[in-house]
Parts: sequence; structure tokens; C-alpha cells
Amino acid sequence: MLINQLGYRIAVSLPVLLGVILLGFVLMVMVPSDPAAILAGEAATPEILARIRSELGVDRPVIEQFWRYMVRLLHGDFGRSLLNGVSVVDEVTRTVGPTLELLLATLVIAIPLGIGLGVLATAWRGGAIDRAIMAFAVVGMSMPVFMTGLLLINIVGVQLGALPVQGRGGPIYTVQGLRHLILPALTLSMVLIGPIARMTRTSMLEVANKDFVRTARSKGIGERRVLVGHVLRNALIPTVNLIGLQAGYLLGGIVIAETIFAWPGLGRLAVTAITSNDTPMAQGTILFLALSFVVINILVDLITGLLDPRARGV
Amino acid sequence: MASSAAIPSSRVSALVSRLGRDPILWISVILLVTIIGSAFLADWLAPYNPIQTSLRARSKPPSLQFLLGTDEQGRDILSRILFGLRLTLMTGLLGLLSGLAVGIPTGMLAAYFPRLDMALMRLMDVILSFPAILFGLAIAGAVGPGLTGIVISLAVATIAPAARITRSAALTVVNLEFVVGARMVGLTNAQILWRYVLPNCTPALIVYSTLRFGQLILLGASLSFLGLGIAPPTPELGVMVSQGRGLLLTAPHIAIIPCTVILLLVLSFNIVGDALRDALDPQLRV
Amino acid sequence: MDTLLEINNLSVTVMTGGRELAAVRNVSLDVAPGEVLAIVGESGSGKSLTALSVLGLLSKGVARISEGEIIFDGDDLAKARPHVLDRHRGRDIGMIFQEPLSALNPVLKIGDQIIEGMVVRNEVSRTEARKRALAALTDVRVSDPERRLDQYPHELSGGMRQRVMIALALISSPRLLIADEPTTALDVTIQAQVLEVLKDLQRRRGLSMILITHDLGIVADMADRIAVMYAGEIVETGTVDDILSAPKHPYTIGLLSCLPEFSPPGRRLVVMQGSIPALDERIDGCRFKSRCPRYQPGPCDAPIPLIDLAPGHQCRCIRPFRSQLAKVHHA
Repeated sequence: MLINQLGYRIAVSLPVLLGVILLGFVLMVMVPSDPAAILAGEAATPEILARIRSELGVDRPVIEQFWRYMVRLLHGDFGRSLLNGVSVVDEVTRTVGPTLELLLATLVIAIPLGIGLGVLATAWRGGAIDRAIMAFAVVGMSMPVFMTGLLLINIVGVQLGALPVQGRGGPIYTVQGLRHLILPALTLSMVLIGPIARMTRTSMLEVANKDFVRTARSKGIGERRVLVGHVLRNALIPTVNLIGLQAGYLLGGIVIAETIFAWPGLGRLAVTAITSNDTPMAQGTILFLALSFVVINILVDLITGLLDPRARGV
Repeated sequence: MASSAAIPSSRVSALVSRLGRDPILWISVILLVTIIGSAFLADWLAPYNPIQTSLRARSKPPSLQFLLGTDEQGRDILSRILFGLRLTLMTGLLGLLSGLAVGIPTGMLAAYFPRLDMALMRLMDVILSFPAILFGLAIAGAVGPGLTGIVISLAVATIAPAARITRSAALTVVNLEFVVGARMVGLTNAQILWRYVLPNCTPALIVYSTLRFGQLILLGASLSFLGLGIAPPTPELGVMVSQGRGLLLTAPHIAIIPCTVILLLVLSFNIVGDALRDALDPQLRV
Repeated sequence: MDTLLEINNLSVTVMTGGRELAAVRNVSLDVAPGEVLAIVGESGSGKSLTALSVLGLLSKGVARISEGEIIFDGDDLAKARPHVLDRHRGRDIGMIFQEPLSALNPVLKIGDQIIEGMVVRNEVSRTEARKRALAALTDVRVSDPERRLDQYPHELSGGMRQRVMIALALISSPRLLIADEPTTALDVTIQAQVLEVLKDLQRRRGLSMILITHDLGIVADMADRIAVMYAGEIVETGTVDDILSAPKHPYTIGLLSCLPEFSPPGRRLVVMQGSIPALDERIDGCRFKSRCPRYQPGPCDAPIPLIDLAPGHQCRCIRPFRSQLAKVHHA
């Protein structure tokens, strides 16, 4: 059953990936700068440029270029950086780890915190705690990621001197690694906490009026168990779905957080590549970021299937 | 006006009465009007030339002479913010309107012509699955940094949700008697869509646009912050933050002030949008 | 008489449009062990609110008990604290609701929902609980009970779900079962089957039961006593025979004459005019007067108490019918 669903999700996601590849290609064709000139450097003669162009294939018709591009991708060849000749695949493999670390840490912070705040707000509905949490949520949703980052750097990093603000300190399981991870992960969490808290509250209030909650209460199992085992249990379904919908914002946030905190991840690599006209690197990184978006959504669908038996049939 | 027909006056009056009871909503509305108004009056309100540098007045904190201080090149931050806001709002509006211009007809066509529905909506799914910031990055890579890239990204980020919302609102009327009747008395499809179907979609679209506008501003500012938008020295809020970033230790106000302006702007849009949704279209989840 | 549950002077208010309005007015009822009491009335009569009050299940912020007491086992459930209510819920008093689909949690397995109360209260081990759930499902005549335990509500038909609800409500052998319109949402043929299951269980276990319904037709062969409610008040109460063969209140008669099996032969079915008054409508005296064919200005405009007509038969009317209705059973 799970396998079927996985296959279905992957099939549905294929058009998205194709779209990304097409876009990546369009990007290459449309770029105004001449990759050959970048590769050859200052002292290039017209003959050298022509030779490089023919090696790169950029002198062929667009359709043929696209075909060759696709064939190369299918062989796992994403090209080499125009700046330093490093293989795109190598660079991506090197940076994907830190990005996953950041993503994982963010989810570990944001999901329990967002759901917890949502539950608190629901339990104290209409009271001061509810209003405070909802105000926090809407401010969090309205705050640009770079602002959260800069504020945390300024207050926690600089004024309190409590945590490092630049770069990665090592693997996630080391103390230095964790210390470096906290601020970027907190920054990124703010993208999710507000929406998750709001969605948890909205759907819990909606579920609280359902008949089955009354049934649960009639069993005499205690209010806490009713709230967690029945109300929250059902409210989690739209909340998890929301995380999938927010995955786009999350990826955007990753790009910015990595830039601000000099985090050696995929997002920063993408920005650097684009701003320095390193086309193959830009294509490769964007493709991988989009791929991670697709993967997040497949995971969300699988979790929804686990949470909701009605969503299981494919 | 045809569009107001679909919004019951009771809802509008509920909104007005809520305005009276909810001070935060009040403040947000006033803030929005003030921010938008002053941005459009930037030419008259700005005390200094926003791109005039001054070596003697670099990185000054807020004072009576420079109400919000100066940046690292001695430019007046207040003036830059006023002009930057104008650019930010115009970019956002342009992106939103172009997105709606494609999304609304797409949604209406999908609802009105069942044969197109499947194809159009799958296409929207594909666009929807594409994270906006990645699209922005890709476009910026393709057309080079600048306004065009940002507007295109914002528009693309708007199309798919707008099409979905229009479609579901339109679906509730296309089979109602008065639409069927209109067809029988010989109105053209275009007339029916314009006069009967579109007005029914307006409440949802107003709510969506308000809530979305805040997100678009965030997206645009993020792209500029990453250096994919307007090139300096033209004042733009995201660019200003990006430039002030390096001086966070010595002159934090250079980065923090434009950040705060963006926050207040987006926050106001979100609060007003939430209130609009509660009043006009409580079912809508944006 | 020995009573299991005693409701004294219960009043319930509901919040509508920012105002608190009386929806149940000074209702007094009692149920003896092994007895089936039917509360009959149209929707809006307050019968469901009365039933929900017993287990403290009124929706918070929407409805609340404003007055009165509900005595069960020496506890006043109307004012009981949550843990006292929880002690009686499920174990002493079980409840079945109207909509069998929405009354079951869509994301939990049937078996887990049935045994949850038992397991939380540590009555028995999980394996023993599962055995009992299986027995309970067999008892309510669910087909293929073993498989049902691991199914989800959406995989079952409406009749099956309501049987599951009955099993759930009775799993801990409560003494009192409150059934709130247990068959209203079901097809007619399924209704009969589910009623049959309920009746059978009630008799075999000597269960006390409050049966809430708008359908006088189903109470005839199930209930011992009937209370008829109208606009928040009890308008007539008595034994099944009292109410069905010698109804006195014009409203009861109106209800009965809507049913073919209780109408005197040869008479046309009467459809009652008008509808139940709105909660915020101010009414002096009899609350049924606007629809009553026997309304008399003056006497009917003053407050009317429940009047004893015979032992156990009370009626809230100053001009009750005298004649006996011929009880006609077609079925």
C-alpha cells in the first residue's frame, strides 16, 4: 500500500521535475553572458573561444542543445563550474549535507513548537495566552527571514555573545556543530511556527465541534485525552498538509538563512552561482533544490496517509 | 459596480463594526494608509535626495537632522525608505496584477468549460509546485538581475493560487439557473463570465489578494536582498537591508530600519487580510 | 419508587447572537432501574439538550445548565466537577448519538474506539478488552466482527456503524443507556434492525434507557413511559398506554394524528399547522397556544403547571381532551 502510494506520488511529481529541467535549460540559453568567455579568461583569442564553444556545444541549434542536455542529465552529468571547473555533482553532494542538517534542525524546532503553541492557544481560547500566541504567529509570518536572522545575529550572537553566527562548526552531533546550527535553524523555524500554530488552532477548534469528540467525552476518558487523542489527532492532518504547502517558503528561507549565516549549503551555493553567472552550477543547484521540494511533499503525503486512513486508497 | 453585488452588505457592515471594536485592526488600517500614502507622495515628503551621498554624514544614527539616520554612504535613510517603499509597492502590485490577469481567466475557463478543466488545473498544479523563490532565482539567472525578473517571479507565484480560488468560486455559480438562463437568452460566454461569474469570485479574490500581497512583498524583498533585484544605488528595501548587513555591529539601524518597515507593511496587510477573510469568506484558506 | 436517575427542575440555556436564551425549562424526569423512558418531541423541543445535560456533554460556550439537579448514585451531575462526570461516563451511563458516521472518530480503528474507555480506566488488559469488544460486536449482530475491529468507520455501512456505537456505549456494562435519536439517520429497513438490537439488549440486560426520538411510532413497543416535550417544556408524561391510547394534551394528539397507525380509522391524517416558537419569542402562558386548536384567550395566557390527571399521568393543559383515542395497531 505504502509502495503504491510512493510510486503514485513520484509519478505525479515527474511533470514538476521536467518543468524544473526545462527552466534550467532555458536559463542556460537565455543567459546574456558568454560561458566561453568566462572559461577562457582575459587573454582569449577568437579561435580559443570558438573551440570552447564547440566543446560546450553552445554553437548548436537550441533543440539539439536541449536534447544533449537531457541526455547528459540522464547520465548523471550535470557539468562543471565555469568558475573553477569543479564538478557540479561533487559540489552539490558536498553542500547537500549541511542543508539537510539545517532542514532537520528546523523541523525539529518548528513542528513541536508550532503544534504546542497551537494547542495552548486552543486550550486557553479567547484568553490572553491565546491572543499573545496568535499575535506572535502573525508577526512571525510577516517578518522577513533576513530580519529574523539579523535580529538573532545582533542580539544573541553579538550583544550576548552566546552563540556563533557564521559558518558551520562541524557535524550535527558535535557540540560545535550544534552551537553553530542553533541560530540559522531558529531563523528558519520562524517561517513555519506561525503558520503551524495558526493551522493547529483553527483545525482543533473545527474538530472540537465534531460529534465524535462528544462520543469520546462520553467514554469518561478525561479531558486531556479527549483533546490530545481525538481533537489534536484529527487536527494534525491539515497541519501536516500545511507543512507541505509551506515547503516552498521553507526553501526560500533556507536560501536566505544560508546566505546570512554563511552556511555552506545548497542554497548559498545556488545564490553564489547565479550572481556570478556560473550557469551549470546554477542549473544543478536549482534542480536539486526543486528535487528536495518534491521529496518533502512526497514525505508529507506519506505521513498524511499514515495519519488519515481515508487518504490511503490510491 | 458589478463586483460589489456579490458581497452582502451585512458582511461589510460586520466588518465596519469590527473595525470599531478591534484597535489592532484600526491601527493596521491607519498604518497601511499612511505607508502607502507616504510612499506615493515620496517626491514631496522625502527631505533629501535618496541617492545623494555625503562623505561627512556617513552611518549617522537617527537624529533631528536625519530622522532615521544615514547609511554607510551618507544617504538619508528616511528618503531612501520612502522611495524604496514606492518601488516595493509598485513591484508587488505589478506582480500581483499580472498574476491575477492570467490566473483569473484561467480559473474561470476551467470552471466554465469542463473540457479544459483537467488540463488547466494540472498545469496550475505544476506551477504551484514550483517554489517561488527558486523561480525567482532561475528567472534572475535568465534575464539578469532587475525589476523584470522580480515582477515575473511575483506574477508566477500568484497565477496558480488565483486560478484555483477563481475556479472554486466560479464553480458554485456556473450551473445555477440564472447562468443557464443567461445562456438561453443568448448572452455570449464572455458576457456571462464577465457579468455573472466574475462578480461571484470577487470576495474570495479580494481576500486572497490582500493576504497574498504581504507575501509578495516578502518575496520581492528577499530576492532583492539576495542581490537578484534592483541594482544599487536605486533605493529598494531589500537592497538596503543587504547593504546594511555588513555594518550590523557598528550601525545596526541601517539594516534594522528598512527591515522594520517591511515587517510593519506585511503585518498590516496580513491583519487586514485576516479581518477581510473573516468578514467576506470565512471558508477560504490561504 | 426506586429511581436510578432523577432530573429535578432542569433548565438549560443556549447562547445565540450574544444572548442567553432558555431552551429547556424546569424539566423533571426520573428513570427506574430496568425502565425505558422515551422523550418525544420535534427538533428544537429541548429533548436532546436534556439528554446531553445528563452526561455534562453540552457544548461549552454554546449551552449550559442554568438551574436544576441531575441525581445519579448520590452525585448531582448538573454541578459535578469533570472528574466526577468522568467516573460515571461510559461506566455507569453510556450514550448513543444520532449520526453514526460523525459520532465515530474517522482516524481510529473501530476496535480501539470501543475499548478506549475500558483501557484508560484500567478495567481489563488490552487483550481481554479486545476479546470483550469482539463479544460486544457479536452481541449487536455485526457481521464478521473479527475483521471489523481493525477497520475504520468509513469502511462500514450506516447501520453497522450504529451497531458499533451501541457496542461502544455498552462495553463497560453501564446501568443507564441514553440513546439520542439512534435510528433517525438510518434507512427504514436498517432502523428496524437496529431497534431490534437495542430492544433485545435492553431486555436481556435489564438496562435502564432514555430513548430520545421525534418518532412516536418507534416508542410503542420499546418504552415503558413517555415524556412529550414542546418548546423546552414537558407537556405530557405518562405510561405508554396513557400517552398512546389516552393522550390528553392537544400537542400529543397532534403528534399522534400525524401517524397512520394511531389515527382513528376513516379520519384524514392531520398535519399540524405552524412550527415551534423561536427561542427568543416571548410567550405568556401556554407555549403551544399559537398552534392549539383549543386555545382560549385568557386562561391559556396565564402560566400553566403540569396537572395530575391520573397517577403517573400529567398534562400541561387546562383544557385537556377527555375522550379516549381508539388505539389502532396496524402493524
